[in-house]
Amino acid sequence: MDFNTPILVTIILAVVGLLMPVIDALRRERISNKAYGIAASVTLAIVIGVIIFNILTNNTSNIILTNSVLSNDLFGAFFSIAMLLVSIISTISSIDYMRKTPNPAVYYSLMLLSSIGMVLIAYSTDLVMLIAAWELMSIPTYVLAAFKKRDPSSNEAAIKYFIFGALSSGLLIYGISLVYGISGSTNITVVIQSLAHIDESLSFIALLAIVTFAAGFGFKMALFPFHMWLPDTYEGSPTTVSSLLAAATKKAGFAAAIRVIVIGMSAFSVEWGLMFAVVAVLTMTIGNLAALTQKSLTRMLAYSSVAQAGYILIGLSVAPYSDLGISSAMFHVMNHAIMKSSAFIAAAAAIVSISTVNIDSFKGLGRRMPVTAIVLTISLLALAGVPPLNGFWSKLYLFTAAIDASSTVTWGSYLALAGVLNSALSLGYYGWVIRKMYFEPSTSEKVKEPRIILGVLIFTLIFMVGFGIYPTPLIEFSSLASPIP
Amino acid sequence: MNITEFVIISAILVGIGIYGLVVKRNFIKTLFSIEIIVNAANLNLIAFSKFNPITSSAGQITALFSIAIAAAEVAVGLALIILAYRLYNDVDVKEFRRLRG
Amino acid sequence: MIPIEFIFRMVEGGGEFIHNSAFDALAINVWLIWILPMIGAMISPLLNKVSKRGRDISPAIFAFVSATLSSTLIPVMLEGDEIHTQISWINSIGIKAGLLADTLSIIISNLVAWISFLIIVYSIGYMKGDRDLARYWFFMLFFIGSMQLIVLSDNFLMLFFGWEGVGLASYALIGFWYRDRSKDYVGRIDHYALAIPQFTSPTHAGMKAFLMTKAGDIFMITGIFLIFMHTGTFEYKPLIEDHTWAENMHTAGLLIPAAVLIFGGAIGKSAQFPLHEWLLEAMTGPTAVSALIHAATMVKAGVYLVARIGPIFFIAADIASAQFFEVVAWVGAITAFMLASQAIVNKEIKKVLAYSTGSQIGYMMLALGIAGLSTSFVEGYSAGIFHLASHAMFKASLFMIAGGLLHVAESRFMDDMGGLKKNMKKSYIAIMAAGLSLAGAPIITSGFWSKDAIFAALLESSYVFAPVLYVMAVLTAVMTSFYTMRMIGMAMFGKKSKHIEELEEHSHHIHEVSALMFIPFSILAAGTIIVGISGPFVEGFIHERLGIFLTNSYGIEVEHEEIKLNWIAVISSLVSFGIGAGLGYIYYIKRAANPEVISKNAFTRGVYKFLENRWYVNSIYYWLFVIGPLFIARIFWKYFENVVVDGINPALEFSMAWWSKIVRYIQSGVVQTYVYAFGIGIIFILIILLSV
Repeated sequence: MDFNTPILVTIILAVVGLLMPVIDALRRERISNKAYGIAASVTLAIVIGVIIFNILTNNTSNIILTNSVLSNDLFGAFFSIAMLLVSIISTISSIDYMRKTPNPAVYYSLMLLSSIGMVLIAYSTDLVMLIAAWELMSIPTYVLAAFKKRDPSSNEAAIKYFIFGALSSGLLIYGISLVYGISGSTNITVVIQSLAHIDESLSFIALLAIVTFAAGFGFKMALFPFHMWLPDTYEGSPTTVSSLLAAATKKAGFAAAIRVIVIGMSAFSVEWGLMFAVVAVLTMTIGNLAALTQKSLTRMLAYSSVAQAGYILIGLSVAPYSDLGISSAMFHVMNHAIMKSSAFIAAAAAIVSISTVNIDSFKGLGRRMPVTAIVLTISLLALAGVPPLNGFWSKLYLFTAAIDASSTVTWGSYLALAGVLNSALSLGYYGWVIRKMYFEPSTSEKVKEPRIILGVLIFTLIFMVGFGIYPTPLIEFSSLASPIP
Repeated sequence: MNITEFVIISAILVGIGIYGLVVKRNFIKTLFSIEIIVNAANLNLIAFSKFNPITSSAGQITALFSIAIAAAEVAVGLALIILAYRLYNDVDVKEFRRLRG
Repeated sequence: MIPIEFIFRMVEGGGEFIHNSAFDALAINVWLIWILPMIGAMISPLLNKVSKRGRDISPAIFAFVSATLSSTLIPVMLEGDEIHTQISWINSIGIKAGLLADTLSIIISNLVAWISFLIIVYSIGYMKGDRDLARYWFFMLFFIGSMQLIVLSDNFLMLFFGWEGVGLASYALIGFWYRDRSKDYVGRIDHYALAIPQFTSPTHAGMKAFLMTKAGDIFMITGIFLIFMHTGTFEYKPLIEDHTWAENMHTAGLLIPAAVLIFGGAIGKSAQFPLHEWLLEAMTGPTAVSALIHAATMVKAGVYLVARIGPIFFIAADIASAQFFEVVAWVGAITAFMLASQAIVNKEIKKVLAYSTGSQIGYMMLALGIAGLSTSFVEGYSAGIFHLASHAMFKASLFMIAGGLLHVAESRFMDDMGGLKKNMKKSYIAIMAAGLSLAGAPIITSGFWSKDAIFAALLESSYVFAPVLYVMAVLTAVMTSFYTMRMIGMAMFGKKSKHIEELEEHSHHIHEVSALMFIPFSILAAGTIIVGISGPFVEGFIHERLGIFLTNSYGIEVEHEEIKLNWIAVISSLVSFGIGAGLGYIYYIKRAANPEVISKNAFTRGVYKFLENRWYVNSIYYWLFVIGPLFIARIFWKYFENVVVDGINPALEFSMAWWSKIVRYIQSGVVQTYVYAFGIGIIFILIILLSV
């Protein structure tokens, strides 16, 4: 089977990622931090180019179920592009944000290695490959979260993340073992077939497997009640790492969930759709409610991430009943990746320039850091789903999918209603930040904004506004890439 | 021993692991609990590999993978706790409470 | 090699050329014509940080490129062809974004593009030293992009977007000098009519313009949606191809209302009665803005709209659409008459020109209206379009000259000017040329030929009330030539006023304006004379091209015949010019008689007051639409808002914050609690799955 692309990507990233610490250890004089950052960014750019080139030349089909471990399909390409875009955004921003760190080579190399894991998760069709890639993605991020060695918050964030992450990996392996027990193989294709003809007495085990998968992936996706690590981790880690966690690793959770649960378990006749729906509503509500009274921007964005995962889950929960389900979820995945990373990077800019992310000290930021304020405003509005930004379109499609499904299951329209109400609720805390920035008088002078981060922010701004006005390319891409179960 | 017993044992082990995570306050004990969970999964894999009518070795291969992965994880975990000890002078997980709300 | 079909599929989602013509390669030009100024607008604030010179020169470059692209489309018009391209935009509701470049749009697009370019060049000189120039260029370029979008779009929806865009730009530019210094006001400071102040500040003027045109826009969007409900599309072409929608709407009694509602938007944008009051206050903006927006382009958007939908209704509904054309013609005639009458007594130079603009647009509406009421549609149609082009040229020129006079004399009142022709030779020649064109001086000016065409169209019509309209048109022409000569006389001829003498004492000498300013208006003034001299040919050319256009695009039958002069029309033109200009000459240029004589007679004094107070329309509007509703709103506020709504708000806020605090309390910060919740979660999910 043709799976050149993921292997090629792996090799490129691995070579650069592994070489960087080696070079750092060997050279006598110091290479500036920037050099590592630029090397990492260029590598990621090349890799994105490789994937896009592959799409254009092969016109790969939307999902390929194969007997081997990887499949070079459009679904994988879609998620890879989303996650790698976030990686490159975080990496470039780290050039400014992490300019004082004592070991930059390790930092950037960890980012690259984590990206390998993300790409492989997106393309994997075998459970063992999945778990290996999952760990490859997660373990570097545990270290990255603790990267500020002298900051106790960073350490605490990493510990909480680690405990949960390790627990979830353990549960995932357990789930894989159960599935292996039922089907005799770890390949998803074989799993589907065997689940279709399952013996009654074994159905409880399959159920238990779904539960553990939901818990394991749900941790990464930050669904209720597995989300509790998230606010602490996003608040404590360095902000560029939070951006990576919020926008990239979370998406990996969704990619894995779609491959394993939505596709893999589709043959198993249990109503996991309703389970996801209940979880989605709870996630959205808890996330939005908790965000309302936050004082720290990064913590607020963390809760917002929780809520956004709820929206995406709406799409997945109606997947068995509506054609639009998965494609709308994937559309929102891509949009959210950019929106959330943009917001976090704006927060990073604030830290670099004014050393705080306390929302109260954002007073008058509109005048002090004009470009950052504008991009942050647009990101928040996009997250809230305000037209003509890209978040509006993806939320529209998600709710349409839910209503579309309500012709088959009654709870579809309630799900959509919950989504709409939550969107309105979210505008409450987004608007609060925007108000602080623009409508309250500032106390101090204009601040210099970090140049490189500004460039990244402007790129995301163009992305959000451009695809908000003309969403058709993204919609087409997500429809083409989404598997119909 | 037949397959059902192994499955029950591994399920109990998972339960013990989660109990350990919830109750124990020392971070090293947390690492133990995580190891218990992973090993329960490994036990399951190997048991299925042996007792399954379509005897495939995929289970054992997976178990090998998982052992290696668990080792890497624990290594990182230990590094984190060493850092924590330097900063807090404590390995009591309950004391890590700066980030909340 | 690399199949780009994949990208094509993603980007265009089915983009296509609707009508394949030989000129399809130029389709990208059509898109660029409106996109380039928008890009220029976005760049402008950035350039402001980089280089002041660059910021001032780049708009001119963008305008020039856009204008050149517009001219590349002229061969399309000469072939009687059109370029029509679309890309699908929102697939789920089947809305496409498309552009249509046919004869009508190409003519107007070129007009808009080139006059915009000249005015931008003029602005570089006029606005020199102003401290808010970045904002100015942004809105000017945004305006040009939106105006081109109006002219080039192939469906009502995109037209509406451009419509709103020009409205926004107009609001921003009218209120440009938002600090409201007294010298930026319009009107005499102590002038009240019916207890309403007749002088306005820039911010107030901007708001007034915005709201009045917005009222028109609401009518327009209602009309558009009425049509959408019966046809399922926003595009023009489907309306022409299949006429069933017109029959359906006619039987439902909705055809005329929809047409008149859309015309409502045109009334607002083109400052016709009854939505004409905003145009006069719009003079608070810089003169370059007045020249561009309120003389040459935006106010013509309404005329363009009527020119676009007129033939649609004519061909689709035939007799049933006659009422619509009647409305158009009467509104045009009334506006022309009313505003011209107010111009003859006004003392501010820009206000005279503003009244004049509204009045001349009335002529254009009259011509387009009468076209639908005649057997030969093309007569009135081509007269209206010809007058549109001709007026754009001389009015823009007149405004630019007035701007120069304002600068030099440091006052907007004509009383404070006088005798300027001695020191401002170039402005003098130009104002004579453009002014004579406005007045309709015989043979050598374009204004004569275009006005004559309108008279001829009126005479050819078989409409029963055409003679009444004709008389109104002729009287308006008399007043037009009168106030034009008056304006030129008061400003240029005679002795220097006290104000000028004071200025000269402070060694502020009267001098000609800079080259950046006089070259643009001289070009336009010369243009109006050149078109005048070749009058019959230009008129014949436009007549023929529009005839072909109407036949090809709409299927309206046009007889090709020689242009014959209608002698009654010619004589009326000459006579009205003679009377009006003659009176103006006697009173204001030769100063042979004293115009103050009207204050002697009670009757004429009353008429004068009536005209000066704008027929009291402005005051009545304020009472009805501003003071009245504000009063009611205040009552509402006191008894409803303060009590009910302000009671609910804190309750909502409190409850939500309470829930939020509860949720946050659960996040205790202790890991074990989190894991505990994790475990409960697993059991919870298990229970859900088991119970379903």
